[in-house]
Amino acid sequence: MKSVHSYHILLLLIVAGISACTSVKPITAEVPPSGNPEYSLIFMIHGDANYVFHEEGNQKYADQEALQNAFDIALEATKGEVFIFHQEPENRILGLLPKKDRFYYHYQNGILVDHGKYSPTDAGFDQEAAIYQAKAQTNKNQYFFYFGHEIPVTDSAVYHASLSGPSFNAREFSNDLSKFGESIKLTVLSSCNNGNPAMIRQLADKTEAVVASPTELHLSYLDVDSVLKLEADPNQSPLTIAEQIAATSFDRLSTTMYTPVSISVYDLTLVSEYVDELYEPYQQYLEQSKTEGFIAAESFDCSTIPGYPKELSSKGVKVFYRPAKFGKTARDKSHSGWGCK
Amino acid sequence: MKKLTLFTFVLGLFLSTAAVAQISDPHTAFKKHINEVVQQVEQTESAEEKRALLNNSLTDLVETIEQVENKENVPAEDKAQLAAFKKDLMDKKAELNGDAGFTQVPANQLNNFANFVQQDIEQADRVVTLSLTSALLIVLILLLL
Repeated sequence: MKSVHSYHILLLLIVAGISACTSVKPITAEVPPSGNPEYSLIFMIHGDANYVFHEEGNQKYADQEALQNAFDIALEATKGEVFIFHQEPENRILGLLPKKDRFYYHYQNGILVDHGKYSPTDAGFDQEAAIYQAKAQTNKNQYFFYFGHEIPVTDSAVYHASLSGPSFNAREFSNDLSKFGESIKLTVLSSCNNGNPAMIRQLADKTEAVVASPTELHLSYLDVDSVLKLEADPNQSPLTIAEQIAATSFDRLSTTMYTPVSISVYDLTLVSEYVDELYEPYQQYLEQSKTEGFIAAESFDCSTIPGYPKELSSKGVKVFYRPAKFGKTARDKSHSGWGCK
Repeated sequence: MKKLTLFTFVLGLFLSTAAVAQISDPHTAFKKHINEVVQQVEQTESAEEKRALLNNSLTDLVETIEQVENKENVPAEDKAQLAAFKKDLMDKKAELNGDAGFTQVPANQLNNFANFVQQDIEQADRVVTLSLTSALLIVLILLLL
């Protein structure tokens, strides 16, 4: 991890002209943007948990892979602005003083103009949103990308390994999303099981479209490079970008995964008309599970819940699905695009 | 007899201490263990041996989880997670062997099945949501098996 950070810090020093031959100047003065950014990409990469996975026997770290991909996109976003937040575990000096272990990077027109370290002030994105609001040059065409483990629906779950106490859940996520902007064009959830009625309902008035998986998603995550289509037309439909992200990711995952691959694109202008009706039977199911102390091993298609309005749930939802190669769900040839757990 | 008991105790203590020293991150150690099994399966030529390797490994995991479930110091919230995880592993073992209504995994699909097990364990949050205590116990017991 340190090598990726070090490379970017070195790059920053070089572009800022902080070398033996020059005096130290404010870095932003050395790298003036070549134009006003026409779109804004926000990458939130959670790393405060175990993100180890293996690919062909080789150990990888999902958060580092996502970070590198975000850096690559940032360098190519010559007409946009990119913020990357890496939520690393927060250590404390003598168990008391926060060490500022999280990193942010700010790119403008393909150039790294600022970076720094910070500490979280809560389990959500308060601190990240404050940094964004202080430094962002545009609030046009905002796209938000989240990479991490499943964002829990219930209140009790502890999410950050290094933070004891504060919980993080779908409600907090959606509340904090609006601290970045009033209307995010697209929200991409590169996480397990977040294509569920509770999460999408929370996001209904916060973002125009969502890409999420209604089942588990491998830690190699979604491929989001298609967002660079904004270089050609920053005002193009977020749904077009969303479908390209889903299709590209689906193609790769379908060739490498033996587990189910499912990615949904939700058009929230349509879905918000009926998502409450999906949420109600899901909520009843969650309450019943809690009462019975039952934990589902994996998510299932919501359409199997009694009273679930199947006829509604396909409006505004595009589903990319391939069943597992093994296991109980290998026989499930289709999916409604809504996961329940 | 006394000498043997003392030797067994010292050996157990040594193994435990060495294991603890190696496992600063039990969640990763667990994933490494699964990865080693998958690599072994892929490197084995005989389908019979591949199936036996997978079967023994799944049996070890199920038995390990049963032992951890019964420990007093395991947090209550972990017990439900462990039960779900155990059920999932038992289903995988049944599929491998064609039990409980599953069609047996064909001989030419055993490498793919091993990868399926690994991908399913790594992508699901079943391992990482377990407390450090439970994860550490699982790894320690696996190492001592």
